[in-house]
Parts: sequence; C-alpha cells; structure tokens
Amino acid sequence: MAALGLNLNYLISYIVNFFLLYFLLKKFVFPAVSQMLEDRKKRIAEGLAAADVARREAEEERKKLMAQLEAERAEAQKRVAAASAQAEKVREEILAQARREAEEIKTRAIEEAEAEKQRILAEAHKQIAELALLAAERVVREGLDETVQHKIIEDFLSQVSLN
Amino acid sequence: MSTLLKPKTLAIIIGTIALVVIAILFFRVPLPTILLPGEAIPGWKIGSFQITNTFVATIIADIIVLALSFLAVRKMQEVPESKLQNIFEWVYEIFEGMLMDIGGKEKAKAWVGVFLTLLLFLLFANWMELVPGIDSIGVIEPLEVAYAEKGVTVGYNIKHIGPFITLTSEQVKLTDEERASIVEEAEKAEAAGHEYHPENPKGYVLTPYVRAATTDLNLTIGLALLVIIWSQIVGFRRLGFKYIRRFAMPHITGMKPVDIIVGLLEFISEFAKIISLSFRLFGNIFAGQVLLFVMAFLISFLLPLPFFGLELFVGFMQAFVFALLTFIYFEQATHSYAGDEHH
Repeated sequence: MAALGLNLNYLISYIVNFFLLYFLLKKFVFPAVSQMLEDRKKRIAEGLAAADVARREAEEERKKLMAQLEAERAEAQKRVAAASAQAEKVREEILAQARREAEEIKTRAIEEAEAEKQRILAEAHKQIAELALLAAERVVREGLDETVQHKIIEDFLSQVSLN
Repeated sequence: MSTLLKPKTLAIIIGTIALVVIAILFFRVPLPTILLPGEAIPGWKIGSFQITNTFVATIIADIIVLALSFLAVRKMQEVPESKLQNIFEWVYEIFEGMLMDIGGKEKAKAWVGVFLTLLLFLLFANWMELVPGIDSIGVIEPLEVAYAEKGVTVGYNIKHIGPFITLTSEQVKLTDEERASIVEEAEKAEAAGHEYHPENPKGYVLTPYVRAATTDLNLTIGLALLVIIWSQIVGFRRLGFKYIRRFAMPHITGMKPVDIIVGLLEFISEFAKIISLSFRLFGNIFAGQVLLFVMAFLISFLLPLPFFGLELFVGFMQAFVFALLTFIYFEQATHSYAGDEHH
C-alpha cells in the first residue's frame, strides 16, 4: 500500500475536494446554464409560434383587403356603367328634345312663311285689284281708243310688276 | 524520387537531422525521478499536512475549472456575446443530449452535473502533464535526503546558471554501502530531533511543484470509491430495499442456486468497478507521463511531439470514459432485479 503511495489522508482530501467542486458547480453553474438553455429554447419556440401566427394573420388580412378591393372595384365599375348609361340616356333625351324643338321651329317657320305668303298674296291681290280699278278708272276717264287702252294697260301692268 | 530532391524537402530533412543531432550531443535532459506516489514537496507543509505535487495540481485543476465555468456563467445572455458562454453551453448541451440517449431525459438531467464535474476536472487534471516545464520546475534536494524519505537511488549533478540551479544530465547512483550509511545517519538525526542534512551531497534530485493529479492513486481510488458508493446510494434511493435484492437472491434465471451465485458476482463486481475505474485512469495517465519523460530523455527535440498529441487525446478519452462509466453505473443501479417486473 505504501509503495503505491496510498494514504488515507490524501484520499479523503481528494474526495472532499471533488465534493466541494461538485457542490460549487452544481449550485452556481449548472442550473444557470440549464436555465439559460431552457429559456432560450422556450423563447425560440415562442418566437417561431408568434411569427407563424403573425404570418397567418397577415395572410388573412391580405385576403380580406384583396376581397374588399375587388368589391370596391366591381362597385366602381358598376357605378361607371350606370353613369355612362345615365349619360347616354340624357344625351338621347337632349337630342330628342333638340330635334323636337328644331322640328317645331321649322314647322313654325314654314307656317309663318306660308302665312306671310298668304298675307302678301292677299295684299298683292288687293293691290292688283286696286290698281286694276285705278287703271280701269283711268281708261274710263280718258275714253281712249283701243291702242291707247292697250298702252295704258301695259303701263299699268308694268307698274304693277314693278311693284 | 524527384520530390525528395526539391530544395525545400531537402532543407526540411537536413534541418530535422541537424536538430536531432544537436539534441543528442548538447541537449541531454535528465530523466525525471519516476515515483508512484505523489511526491511530497520539501518544505511545503500546512500544519502536519504535507503538500504533494499532485495535490497542488488538484488545486490548480479546481481553480481552472471553477474560473472557466464561473466566467462562462457570470454574465449570461440570451444572445451570447462571450465565446466562453457559447462553448460552455455547447459542452453542456452535447453531453446532456448524449446522456439522454443513454439513460433517458430524467436521469440525464439528474446526473449531468456529476458527469460534467468529473469530465471537466479530470480533463484539466490529465492535461496538466502536457504543460511544458511542469516536470522540470521544482525543489532540488540532496539525493541522500530523497533516499531516506522516498527511496530514490538515482540523482544528478547540479550546475548554476545565473540565479538558477539546474540538474545536469550526469547521473549519480548510490552504492549499497552509501545507502546503509544514509539510513543510519537519518535515524540518528531523527533520534536527535533535527532534520537530516548530509555534509557533502553526492547528487541531487528534483521534485517538481506540479505533477498531473491523476498520476496519484489516492485521487483515482478516492474518486472511484466516491462514485461507486454514490451509485449504491442512488440505487437504494430509487429502488429501496429492492436494490439490495440484486446482491441477495435476484430473480434472473429463476434457478435459486444460480441466482445466489449471480448475486454474489454482482456484489464482487461493485469492488471490481472501483479497481477498474481507478487503475484505468491512473495507469493511462501515469504511463503517458512516463512516456513523455522517456521520449524527452532519449531525444529532447522533435521526438516527444507526436506523443504530446497522443497524450492530448488519451487525456480527454480517459476523463470522458471515467465520467461516462460513472453515469452508466448510476443508471444501472436504478434497474431492479427483484423480478416483479418480469413475473
């Protein structure tokens, strides 16, 4: 035993030494490391889960927005279509109105022209009659021969046509 | 052959040969005194407790392990900036994972502390043999005193280099008559109540301040005893009196006479575990140290290098094996041989 250097004092001191080392590490070091590893694992898991949730939410949000956008676009289209239909109708109406008015104006103008014409004709008739009477009066008053009569009538007529 | 003649290759070969020749001719180193027990450092005593160089190495290994691990956890961060913290966490996770593969989560968590303490402590204790100068810095005392106290018979001459004293490679051996007279004189000195100091020392012996702690059987046997007793406690706490059944009438074969012998073998194997654990560690590291001594003694340059690499590996391997076997013994102690699981 002595040749191997075995000595109970040393042996016990080494055992105590190891126990102390174990105690210190077990008390202060290993729990800290273990705790840190656990915490980090938890944090990473939480982070990943949160990222997952966030991604899903974003996806949903995006879908919602897209649907909304689509709906709005359709709405706008519908409105534009309605508006253009309305505009077309208005145009038609305006055109029709204009045409009607033009027609009216034309008719009225024609009527007025006709009336004027009638009036003028009537006037002319009256004047012709008056002139004829005047000419006849003159003819009668002069008592002239046939050639003179013709001349007078022709003068008269030329006067009339001049009028 | 053409590669051999390249100038660079040639220079390397010539340089190597030159180094070896110089080492053999001019740089002979003494073979350190190889002693099995941890060597008492002359003059280092606390009360009646004589400090040995293996004890010093134990304290140094303690300090290294404590310093590294406390530095690693001093300012722990969730996003680690210190490399030490990273390394420590990595080591912890790797070995905890390994233990989980062997013994399951609960047992790994329970005993990873013992495993890592053993691993780290033994690792640095083993690797201390690799520190340059560890075996050559120490206290020089007369060969006669060394013989009287430790039975050393081979010493060396000394020479002074500046303020330092160093051993030369010239060996001095004690003859039988000299040994007898030394014993006589030492006894006389002790009887007179003062320390033995030879008048004219024939030679000198160096006791290094530090020697790898695991080259001391007291340490390895102490640790082996500790973990085996611990494993009994673990088994008893987990299984209660069922644990005792493994040594007395376990239900293994079902045949009573055979089971009694099996129980006996179980009992003996607990002692065998102490022997195998302690001597495996001690033998490997002690032999490694002697190997390094002898290689440096043969050719002091180049030759020891590959053995340093080897010892680096052996040092880790032995620490790992000791720690792993401890875990496995703990784990085995929790298996019941009482038989109620099988029948």
